[in-house]
Amino acid sequence: MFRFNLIIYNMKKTFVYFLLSFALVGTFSCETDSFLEDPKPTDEVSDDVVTPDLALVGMYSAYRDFYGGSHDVATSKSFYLGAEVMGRDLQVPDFNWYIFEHRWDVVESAQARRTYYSWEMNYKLIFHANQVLHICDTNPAGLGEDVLNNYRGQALALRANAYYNLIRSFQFTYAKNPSLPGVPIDISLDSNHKSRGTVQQVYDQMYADMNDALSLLSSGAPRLAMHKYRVDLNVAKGLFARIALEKRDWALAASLASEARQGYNLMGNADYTAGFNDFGNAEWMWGFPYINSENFGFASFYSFIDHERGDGYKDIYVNSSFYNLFSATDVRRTLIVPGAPAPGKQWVTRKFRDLPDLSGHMVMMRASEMYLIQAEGLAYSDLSAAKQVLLQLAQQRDPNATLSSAATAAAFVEEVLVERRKELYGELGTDFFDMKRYQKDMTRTGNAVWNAVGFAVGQTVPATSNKWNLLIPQEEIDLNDAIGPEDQNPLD
Amino acid sequence: MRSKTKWFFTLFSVLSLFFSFAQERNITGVVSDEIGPLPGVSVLIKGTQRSAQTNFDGKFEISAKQGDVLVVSFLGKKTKEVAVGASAVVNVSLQDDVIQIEEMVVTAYQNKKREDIVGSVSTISKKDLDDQRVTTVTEALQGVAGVSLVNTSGQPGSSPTIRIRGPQSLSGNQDPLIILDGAEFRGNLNSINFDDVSSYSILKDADAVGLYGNRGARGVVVITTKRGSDKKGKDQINIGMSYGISDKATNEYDYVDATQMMQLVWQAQKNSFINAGIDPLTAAQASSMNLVNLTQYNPFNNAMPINESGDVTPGAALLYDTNWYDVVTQKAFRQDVNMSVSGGNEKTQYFASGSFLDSDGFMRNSKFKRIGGRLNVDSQVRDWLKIGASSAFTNSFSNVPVQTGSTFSNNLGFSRSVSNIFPIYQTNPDGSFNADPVTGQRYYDFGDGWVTNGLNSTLGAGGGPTRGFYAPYNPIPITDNNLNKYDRINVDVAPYLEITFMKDLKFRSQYSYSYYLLASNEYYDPRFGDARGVDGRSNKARNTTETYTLTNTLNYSKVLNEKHTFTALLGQELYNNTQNNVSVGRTGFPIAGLDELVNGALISAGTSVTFQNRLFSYFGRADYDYAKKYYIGGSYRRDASSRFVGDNQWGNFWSVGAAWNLAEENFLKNSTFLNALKLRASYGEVGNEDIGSTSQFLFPYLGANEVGWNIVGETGVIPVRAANPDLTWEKHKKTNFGVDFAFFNNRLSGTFEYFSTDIDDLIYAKPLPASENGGLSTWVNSASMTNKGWELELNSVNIQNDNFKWTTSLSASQVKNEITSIPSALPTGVFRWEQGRDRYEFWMAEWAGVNSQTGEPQWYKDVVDGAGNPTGEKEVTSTFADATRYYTGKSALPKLEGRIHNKFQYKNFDLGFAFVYRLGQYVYNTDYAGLMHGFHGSNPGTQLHQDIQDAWQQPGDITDVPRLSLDNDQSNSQSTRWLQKGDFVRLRNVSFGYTFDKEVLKSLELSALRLYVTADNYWTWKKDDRIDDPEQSYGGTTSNSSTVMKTITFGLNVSF
Repeated sequence: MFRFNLIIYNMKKTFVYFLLSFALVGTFSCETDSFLEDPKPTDEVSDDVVTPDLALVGMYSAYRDFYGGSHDVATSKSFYLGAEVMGRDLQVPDFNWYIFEHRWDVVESAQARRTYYSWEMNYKLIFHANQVLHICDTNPAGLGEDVLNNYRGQALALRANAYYNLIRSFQFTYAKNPSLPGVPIDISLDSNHKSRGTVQQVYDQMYADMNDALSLLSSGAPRLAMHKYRVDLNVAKGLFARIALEKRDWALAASLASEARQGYNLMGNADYTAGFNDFGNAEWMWGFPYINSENFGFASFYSFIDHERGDGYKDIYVNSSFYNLFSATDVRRTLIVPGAPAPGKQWVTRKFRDLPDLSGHMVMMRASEMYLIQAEGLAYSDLSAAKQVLLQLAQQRDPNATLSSAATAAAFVEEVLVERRKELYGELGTDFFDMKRYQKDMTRTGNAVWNAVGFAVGQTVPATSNKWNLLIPQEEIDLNDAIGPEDQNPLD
Repeated sequence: MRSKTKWFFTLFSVLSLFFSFAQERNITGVVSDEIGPLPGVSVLIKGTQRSAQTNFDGKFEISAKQGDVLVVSFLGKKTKEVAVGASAVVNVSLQDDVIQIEEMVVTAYQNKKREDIVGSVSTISKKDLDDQRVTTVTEALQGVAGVSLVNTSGQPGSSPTIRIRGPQSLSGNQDPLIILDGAEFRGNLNSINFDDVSSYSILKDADAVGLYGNRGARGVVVITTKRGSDKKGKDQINIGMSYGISDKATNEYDYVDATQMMQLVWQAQKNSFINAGIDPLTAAQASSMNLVNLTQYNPFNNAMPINESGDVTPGAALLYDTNWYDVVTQKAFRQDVNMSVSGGNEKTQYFASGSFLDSDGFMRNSKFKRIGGRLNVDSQVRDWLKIGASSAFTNSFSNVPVQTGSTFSNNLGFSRSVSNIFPIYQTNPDGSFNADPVTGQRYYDFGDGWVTNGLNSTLGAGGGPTRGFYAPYNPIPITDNNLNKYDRINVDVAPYLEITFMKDLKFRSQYSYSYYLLASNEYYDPRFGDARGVDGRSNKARNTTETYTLTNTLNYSKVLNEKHTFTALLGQELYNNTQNNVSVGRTGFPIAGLDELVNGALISAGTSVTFQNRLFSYFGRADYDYAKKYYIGGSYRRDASSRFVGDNQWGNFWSVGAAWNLAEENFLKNSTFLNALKLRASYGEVGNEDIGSTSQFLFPYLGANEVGWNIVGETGVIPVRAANPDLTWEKHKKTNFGVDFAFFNNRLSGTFEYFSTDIDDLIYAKPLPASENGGLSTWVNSASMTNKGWELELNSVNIQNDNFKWTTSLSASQVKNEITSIPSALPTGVFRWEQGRDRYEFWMAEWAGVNSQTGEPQWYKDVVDGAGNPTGEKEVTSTFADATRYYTGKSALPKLEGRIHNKFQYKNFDLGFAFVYRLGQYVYNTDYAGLMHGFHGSNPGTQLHQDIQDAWQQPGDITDVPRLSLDNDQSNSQSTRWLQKGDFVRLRNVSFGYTFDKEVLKSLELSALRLYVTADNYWTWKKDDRIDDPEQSYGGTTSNSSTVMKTITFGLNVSF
């Protein structure tokens, strides 16, 4: 009896156990097949999904929004704004964002944010351009060859533009010595470390890219209005014109600039004083739009320069000497207004005013710059024609402007350079890069405040000073097998 | 010692049985300890199920034969075995179980007796917790041998950094695995109610962690919560209450005052003028004239407060002298209430608890509240089936103003940047304040030229001074009106069933589910501060983490001939972790204080993303011991992770361990001097795959392109990572040797261990130079490092008599880390990973002091030969960019760390002191560097340390502080100038308590009552006074973070 009970008991137990085991192991084995394969990224896609369209927009977006880790190195605009405050026209009287650029402190450190940013942003852009070229070849996604060629042209033009910004930041101008060390040239997706090469090699690459870009961009449909953030044939010519100007390829610069501005009119006073925040502006050839959810808040370009915005750092002011360059009837003078009665802060600019939701657009190229490049390029071959080109722009801004009376090309170019500052300040680092281009000594005047500091009022940075060049980022030297400490730019 | 006795008696009883035909009869006796009779003691006749319990007077009665062995046991006392002799009366006296050699230790998937453990396991038992009188999880763990625990924040409820046996990875997760009641716990350690915990086990070597092969490499902390016990229907209620007050444990940096600041700016400006070629007298005069122009703010009632001699101009008086540190901090109160009930019957037992904690931080407006509950139930529903569950919920609410890092809103950073010359309220040159004409309330000064006023009237008239930095910001209105509210909900439920289908074979299945919600609510007031320009901003994020673990195990154990003990375990486990993050933001909140998004006019952000990680495992373990003398065991585990692909998904991990209990050998068995001696050794390989929890870490095998690089509605993607399908597990090869010992009748006992861990296939993101593919990184397995070290734990009973007892416990450990291979040296901030170097060895420019002629800062640089190669000689330079960076030989890792705890007991009073120490480590103190800028690259008026007064002033001055100047000569650049000794000894805890006599309590119908006062962190010794608190990061850097609080607490524990 006892034995029998035990068997019944054991049978029951075994039955229950099997039931439970089946249930558990059953669930288990159903899941194991896909269990490990289920997790997939929800915010990333693999290479085969990336079409030329996606890569192209990504390239522009990365360029527009590159974030260098701090508010003074955010968006592509901060590259230019950094150069702006290194010049004579805009200044940072407080110890605030861009002070290290304004005082030229950044040129003495291989670990400064400006140094890293200027290098990394441009190399990222080069990489994205290489990636777009690669994807156009490997995953055309059914796009026609004319469309693909157009995309390739955009990538090549942007790549050349990145090398242009690199070479003029990290080395003296081409005219000084083309055989000085340049910057590493990376035009493929291989992973071999590259050495600095020479300035000449960098220019050769830029010219090759630009020539290819011009022929490729003539294919495909015309650019849509909403795509004004993309490079088209006009913009590519404009970018090429800047490079040719830097290389003193005067005739080429002039002809490219002239062609580039075809189809664009100089804007009137109403547009000029509207705040420079809308890429729909008829004179804008290239600009980056934003919407509210994409804006950079305190890190955006406007935060530093727009003194009418509700928030923002508002720490960039206009130099009084620069203000005095404008004639009384110049529309651009009306945009420079009194600031605070404190040293260095007497003048602020209203040129750039953010939109209420902080989504003000960023200007990258305007037709007026093309007039100026054309005038400068022509000056060396046809001075009177050059004067006429300049007059068109000058009269648009100031009805009382008259034809230049300069007797020599050099004297005329001086006038063009001043006009470039007046027209383009806040946009492209014009004064700093022009002084570097013409190898001039820089002296600050007016109400600049850092009396005894860094780059002070009355002090001069000679054209020969190594301070004009940024140092190669320390990290590049540490990680690049082909660049050693001996390849670093010299310090004074 | 214990097992030796047991064997002896077993032998004895067997012999007795052999030689006598005993008669059963009634045996009576009294069980007592040094205080008196003990009620509730279990008396069992060995080898039978027959047992009795002592009554309230400690008496028991049991039927036994001569030669039977009575096993007398009681929690917290040493179990005693007494043979029944001729007498019918057996009185037994029990002693406190100081050594706890027989305690049950919770290890991987198994519970084991302490004596049976082969691996390296440190435990903190219920009794240790009671003994130490600590009040938090982190206090309990700090100082356990082999555990580095660093408190990194003064915010209540924040988690500390824990490392077990040194750095565990280069860039992956280094935190130990935390197992709570059998399943991985991913929440905040401090969300576990401390009073619910019954024990902690810290698993360190391969033998101990082997069964957690896929995640155990970094060490494991096993936390077990209390469960009910058979109380024969008598439930026990415990209530604990405490009230405390807290403040920063160490003094804040010694700042200069307003007058000194003005004088220092004057001096810096004068120096800069002189540097520009102006003669000293003119420079001094110009500096006086221009001073207020430069500082903008003037705390004096005189327009030229500092005269040309650098003194306060006669007649000039201070209008204010703001101590911002006082403004941004608060007195912090703490209240903690716990209640638990446990009980049950033979079949079902339960433990239930509830807790409430309300604790402020010392940073202004920092709050933390936590409400929690737990219910653990076990029921033996059939003799072959047991079911039960652990379940807990925790709900915490905190307001956490930023208190670390370099952002604007870090108030600690604010008080270390904005000096006393800046006023709280808008102050006119005559000392009068601007105020609201109606309410009279003073307007706040935001440093923005009085453009913003404050609470009542937001837009001001302007015309005030501007600070030029930290503007527009004033910590009072902003911290009080902005929200940084983080609400957390943790729900953990773990039901299980256990089937015993043979005496020796058990099957157990547990499903552990955990849900964690982090609701962040950040709101920026429209009236002032960051979001004034957009009329206020509100961001809401809801991040959920769901984790489930299904564990099935089969346990077998068999004892043959009372000598051969076999245990075996087989198991399978699957683990899933899913995170889902949703966040939305709006701007345009014109009505102040209404932070809900419905009030906002414009959607400014909105995003969501999901991350998932899975693991799948089979594992097994087998152990054998012979006569409790020789132990051998091994484990094997095969794991797959969704983080890898193909064959690389799978990792095979294993361990072997052996122990020799010498105390059981004949030659030691009768030693009165040596009571325990056990040698242990183990080796094994375990894995680590946790390199992070977002896509780039979860899918390193995919070449990925990030989505979301959009331009105005057009979608863009960019490549963010190059694929590495070959990526696989990091492998930790662990070797361990240990010895457990006890001397002098167990008065002195302890453990010593030596360990060595070789970590191979370390995963890190291999960096490329920016010029190569934009610096796109790839994950690689291509570095190795080792951790070697030793650990010592000692416990001693120094004095023990009827009224007085003094016990000491001490722990010490040392780890030495070395990177044994890395393809190429890799700088990472203040460190540089290079073969043969400590991962945390500082690498930076070497400070060469101040040039006594010029006052310029100096660093060393290599002298190079014609070919540009270093000659081995060094020279000094005052140009920082020329300085060479060197290894400093100084590490952020301590040379020695541990704890010393002393406890004194006199009659009903108890007094305990616990010191923790970390010695030999260095701290790179950026906070101090920030306070010693000397105006090089800092705005005039930026906060300074009193040490700046030593600045160089004239040729010949010998000092370590360079000349003050407004030029940027980068003297506070990264160099050994800021590398400070981080040694400290901290009185972690002092407790003083009184336990009432049971006799007294009887009339109150209470079973226990203790009143106590404890003081945490009330005393700290630090080697270098220039650092405010050396305990703030494992990696040895500072970041203007709030640090550990000192707390004094009064409390009581009562049971009935």
